Amino acid sequence: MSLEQVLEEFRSGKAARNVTCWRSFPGRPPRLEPFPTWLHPSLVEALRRRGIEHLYSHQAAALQVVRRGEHVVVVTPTASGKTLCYNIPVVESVLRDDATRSLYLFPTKALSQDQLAELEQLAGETLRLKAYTYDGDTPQSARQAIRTAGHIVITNPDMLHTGILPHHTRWLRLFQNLRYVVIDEVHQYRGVFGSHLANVIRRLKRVAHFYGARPQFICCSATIANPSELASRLIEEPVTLVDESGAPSGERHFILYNPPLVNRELGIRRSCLLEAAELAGAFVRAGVQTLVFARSRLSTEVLATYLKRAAAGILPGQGEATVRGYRGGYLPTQRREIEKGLREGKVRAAVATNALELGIDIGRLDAVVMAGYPGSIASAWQQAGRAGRRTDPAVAVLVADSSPLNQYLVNQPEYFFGRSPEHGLVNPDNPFILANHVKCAAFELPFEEGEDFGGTCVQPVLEHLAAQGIVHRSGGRWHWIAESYPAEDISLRSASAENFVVVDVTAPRPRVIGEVDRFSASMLLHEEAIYLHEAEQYQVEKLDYAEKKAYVRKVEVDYYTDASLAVSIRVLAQFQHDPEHNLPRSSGEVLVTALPTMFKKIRFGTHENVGSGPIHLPEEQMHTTAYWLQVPREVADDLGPQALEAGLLGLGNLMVHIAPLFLLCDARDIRSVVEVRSPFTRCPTVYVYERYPGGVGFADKLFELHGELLAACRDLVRGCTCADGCPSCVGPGAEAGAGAKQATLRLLRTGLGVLR
Amino acid sequence: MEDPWHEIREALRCARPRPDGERRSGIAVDRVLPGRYLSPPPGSGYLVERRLSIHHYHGGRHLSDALGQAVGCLGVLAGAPGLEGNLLEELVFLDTETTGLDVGPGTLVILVGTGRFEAGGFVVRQFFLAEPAGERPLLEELARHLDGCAGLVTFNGRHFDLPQLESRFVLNRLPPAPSSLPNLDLLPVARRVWGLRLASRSLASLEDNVLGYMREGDVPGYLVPSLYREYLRTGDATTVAPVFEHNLRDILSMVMLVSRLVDWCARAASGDLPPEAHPADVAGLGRACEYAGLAAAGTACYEAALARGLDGAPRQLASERLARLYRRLGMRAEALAVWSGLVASGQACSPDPYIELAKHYEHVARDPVRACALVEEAIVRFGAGLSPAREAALRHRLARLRRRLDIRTGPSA
Repeated sequence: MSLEQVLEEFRSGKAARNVTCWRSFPGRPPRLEPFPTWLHPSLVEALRRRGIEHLYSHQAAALQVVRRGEHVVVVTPTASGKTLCYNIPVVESVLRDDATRSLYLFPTKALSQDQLAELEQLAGETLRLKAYTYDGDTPQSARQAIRTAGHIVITNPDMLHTGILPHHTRWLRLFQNLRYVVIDEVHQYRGVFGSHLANVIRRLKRVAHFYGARPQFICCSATIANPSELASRLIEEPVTLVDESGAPSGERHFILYNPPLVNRELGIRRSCLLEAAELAGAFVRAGVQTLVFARSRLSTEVLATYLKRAAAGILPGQGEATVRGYRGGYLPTQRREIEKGLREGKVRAAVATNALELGIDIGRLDAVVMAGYPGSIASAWQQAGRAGRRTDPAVAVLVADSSPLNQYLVNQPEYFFGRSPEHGLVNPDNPFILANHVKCAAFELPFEEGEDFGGTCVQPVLEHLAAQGIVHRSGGRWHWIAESYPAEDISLRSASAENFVVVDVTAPRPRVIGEVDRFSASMLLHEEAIYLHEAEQYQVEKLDYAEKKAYVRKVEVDYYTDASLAVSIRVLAQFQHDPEHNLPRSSGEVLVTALPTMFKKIRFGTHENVGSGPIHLPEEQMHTTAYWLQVPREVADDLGPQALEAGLLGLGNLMVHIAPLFLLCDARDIRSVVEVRSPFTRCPTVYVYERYPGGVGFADKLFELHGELLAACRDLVRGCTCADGCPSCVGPGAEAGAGAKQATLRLLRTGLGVLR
Repeated sequence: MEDPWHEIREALRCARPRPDGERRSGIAVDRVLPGRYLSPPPGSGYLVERRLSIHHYHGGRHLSDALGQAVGCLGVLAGAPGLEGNLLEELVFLDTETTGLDVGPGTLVILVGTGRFEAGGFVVRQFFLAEPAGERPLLEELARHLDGCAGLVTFNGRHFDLPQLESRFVLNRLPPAPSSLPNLDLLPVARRVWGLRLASRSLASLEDNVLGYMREGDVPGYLVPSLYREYLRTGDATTVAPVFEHNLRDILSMVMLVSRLVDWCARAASGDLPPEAHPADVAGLGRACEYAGLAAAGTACYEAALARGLDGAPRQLASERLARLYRRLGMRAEALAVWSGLVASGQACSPDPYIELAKHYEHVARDPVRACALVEEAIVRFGAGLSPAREAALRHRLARLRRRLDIRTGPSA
C-alpha cells in the first residue's frame, strides 16, 4: 500500500475525528545554482565525485556571505545540505593556504564523529586535508599531532573550555591561523548552556586576537523565532541570516492528533503512547518506513514491542530485524548498524528517543510519529524533518499528551504552523557565569587595565578577584596568581559551582552520570525521585547532602516525580515596572527561599497523580530574576478570597506550562509562586522565577511578552472542555481549589482587557 | 548559602578602577638580596648573582669534582645523546619555581635559577619576577644568558620546567629559547637507578639517601606559590628570600647528582662501581643501561650487583633481567645457569624463567616431559596473577606440549 492510500484510509476512518489539524505542503522542486567560478578546481572535482553537480540556492547564498567576510547563520530544514555551507569555505581555505586552521563545535561527540566521516568522504584520497576530532576520547598520544597538524579540529564546547583554551600556548598553530569557527545546532545553545557558550566564545576570540587571528563564524540553526539574534548574542558580532532553502521536497503532510477524552469531567484522555502505537502500526503494516519518537526509554521499549508485533507476519524477518529501538545507552556499533539499516531501507521502523534528533544521518523516511510533543516547536520540526524524501510524499503525526502545552499546541495550530514563536535566549552577563569565565580568561591571558570582556566592563570583577588573592595587578595588567586551574571546576551546564553529583550505582562500578545545581538538588535528587538521564530513568536511593552526592539506580517506571516546595520570595530590586496594565507587570531580582515538602508521582501521558511521599531536606536560598504580575485590590475584592487564591494558583501553573512556547526552555527551568498579599506589591501577586541562580533572561522576555503570554493562557483555558480544572489547563480541580478554572479565566480576561 | 552574586553585582555597578601602581609598604627585594633590576621598578625582573668557590662542599662532594667530567654515556641514558661529547662545565643547570604545578598560561614562573662554571668558580644566577609585569625583560635576559650554551641540565625539565618556560615565552611573543637547547633531564635516569631502593625519587629524597645531604631550614616546594602570593600582597621580600635559598640548593644538588651519575656511568661498562654504591643502585644502573640499549654495560652492572650481595626481590629481578641480557648477547649457557638457579631456588618472580627453560628442554635438550612439568609449575605459581592474554599463552604452550607427549607415547598411554 502506498502512503497516499494509507492516508486516504486514515482520512475516512474513525480516528480522523481526533485530528485537530491536517496541513499539506505541496512538493517543491530544487532551486539550483552553479558552482561559483572562484571555487578551487580540486574542490569542484571532489564535489562532483560525490555526485554533487550544483549547489542549492541557500548553499550558494551562504558561500557568498562568507566570501564577503560576514558572519553567517544558516537556517534551513533538516537534511537540506547545511554541512556544505561550512565545509566548502573551510576546505577551500585549506586548499588555498595549507597553514589555515578551522574549529568546528558540535554539542555532542556522536555528531562530531558524523562530521568527521563526512569531511573524510568529501576529501576522498585526493584532497590533502587533515581533520580530527578532539574530545575526552582522543588518545593522549594523538593529541600532539592534532594540535600542530590538524587543519580542522572538531570538538565540543566543554572540551574547548577545559582542554583547549586553558592550554592555548600548545595550540599556537591553531590560534595563529584560525580562519573559521563553525558552530552547528546553534539553537541548542540557549539558557544556561548558551550563556556559558557565549562566554567561552569571548575567551576564544580573546585568545585568537592575542595570536593575531580574527576568525569568521559560520553558524547553523534549526528554525526558531530569533536565529540571527541568538547567533549574534553568542558570538557578539553582527550576523547575516540565510534562511531560504533551495532544497527540493516532496509533498508533505503534518497532522496534529489529540487522543480522545476518556473522562471529560477530569479532563483525562486516552494514553498518547497507545494512540501513537496504533497510528504507527497502521503505517508499518502498509509497508511505510516509519520512525517513532518517544520521550523516555520505557516508552521506546513499549512502542518497539508493539510495532514488532504489528509487523510480525507481514514484514520479512518477523519484525525482529525490521523494527528496532534506538536510544541513548545503545552501543555506538549498534547505533551505526541501525542507522545503516534505516538508510538502506532494511529497517522498516524504528522507535527512537531524541538521541536521534540531532543531525545523525539515517537517510529519509516516509512517516514520523511523535508520541508527545518533544518540548519545543524547533525540536518537533527537526523530528518531523526526518520524514520527507526529495520527490515522494511524507507524513508527520504529532500525538498530544494531556499536559497543558501539548493540549495548547494541538488546539491552536496557528502557533505551530505560523512563524516560530520560540526565542532562544542567553544571558552572557549572568553574574555567576560571567565571573566564572572572567576567571578562566584571566588564567588564559592577563587582563589589561580597562579591557572589557565581550563589551562588558569586568574591571570590578577583577578587583574582586584581586581582593581574594586570585589575580594581581601589575604594570597595568591583571595577572593570574592562584594555583588552581579554574576551567576544571566550572561546568557549562549549570550556573553555580556548588553542584551535586549524580552517581549511578546500578553496575558494580559506580559512575558519575550528571550534575545538578544546589538549588535544584532538593527538587530533583530527593530520595525516591526519578532522575532522567539520556532518556533513561534512575531512582535516587540515597542523597548524601553533606557530601553533595546522590546515588541512583536504573529503574523502569511509568511515572516521573515532581517535588512540591514551600516557597517564599523577596523582591530585592525591581528592574522594570509597567503599571499601565490591568494586571501591572514587573521584573527584577529576587531572593527565593524554598523548603521541599513532598513529592508526587505523576504518570506519563495522562499526568495522573499516582502516589506521593515526604521530603526531609533543609531549605535553600537562591538569588535569581523573576517576572511578576499583581492583581489590583478591586479585582481581588470582587473575586473573594477563596476564588482569588484558586485563580492565582491556576494562573501561575498555567504560565509556567505555557512559557516554554515562547522561551525555548523546559517547564522545569521556571517556577511560579503566588502571594495573596505580597509585602512588595501590597497586592495579590503571581511570580514566575528562573530556576538558575542569576537568571538567563527568561524573566525579562516574559515581561516583554506579557500580553501574548496571557492570551495564550486564555486560549488554552477557554478551549479546555473540563469542568473545573484538569491536568491539561490550570491543574486538577482538587489542587488549585474549587472554582480555579473560572477564577483563572476571570484574571486572564482582566489582564487582557482594555487598558485602564 | 554563600552567594557571590551581590558582591559582584554591586561591584559591577560602581565600576571605578583604583589608580594604578598602588604601592605596598613592604621591604623591596633589593634590600633583602643584593642584585640588580632588569628594568626600572615597579614592574620588573630582578637578578641575583652569586659566585661560589669551586671548592664549595655540598652533598658529599666538592663542586670542583664536576670539572673535566664528560657527559659520556649518561647522555644516552638521559635521552640527550648529542651531549655525549660535552664537558659538564659547558652546560647550564636550570631549575624554576612557579605558582602552580599545572603547565598552562595561568602558571607564572617566578624564579629561574641557573648555574654554570665560570672562570674558576660556579655562578648561580636567579632571575626573579619581582612584579609579574617584569616578565618580558626577565625572559629576554634569560635568553641572552643561555645563548650559546651547549645544553641544559634539569630535574624533570622535560615535563615541567621547559614547558612552563616555553608557555611564558610564547605569552610574551618571544621565541622560546630554552626549549631549543638539548636537555639532560636527570629525573628519568634517577628513577631507574635509585628506583629499586628508594620509594621516592624526588630531589629531596635523593639528597638524603644518595648524596647524604640533609636540608635544614628549607622551605618545602609546595609552599612556594603561597609565599609568592604573600610577597605580592605585602611587597615584603623577606617572605620569598627562603625560595631563593631553596632554588640554590636544588641547583647545587643537581651538580652533585650529575657528577655522581657521570662517574657511575663511566664505570658501568666495567662494573667497577665505587664502594659507596648500594647493590640495589648498581642493579638500578644496569636497568638504566638496559633501557638505553647498552646491553654490555647493563650485564656488567647486574653481575656486579649480584656479586655485591644484592638480596630480596631486587635480586630476583636483576637475575631475570641479567638472564635475558645474556640471551640477547648470545650467552646461552650463562642464561640457562641463571634461570635454573631461579627455578631451583623457587625464587623466580615471573613465569619467564620457567618458560625459557621449557623452551630449552623442548627444542634443545629434547626433553618435553621436563618442559611440560616446567610450564605446569609456572601456571600453578603465577597463573592467577597474570593478564588473561599471558595466561592463555601459557595454557596454549602447555596444551601443545601435552599433545606432543601424547603423540610420542601413543594414544594408548
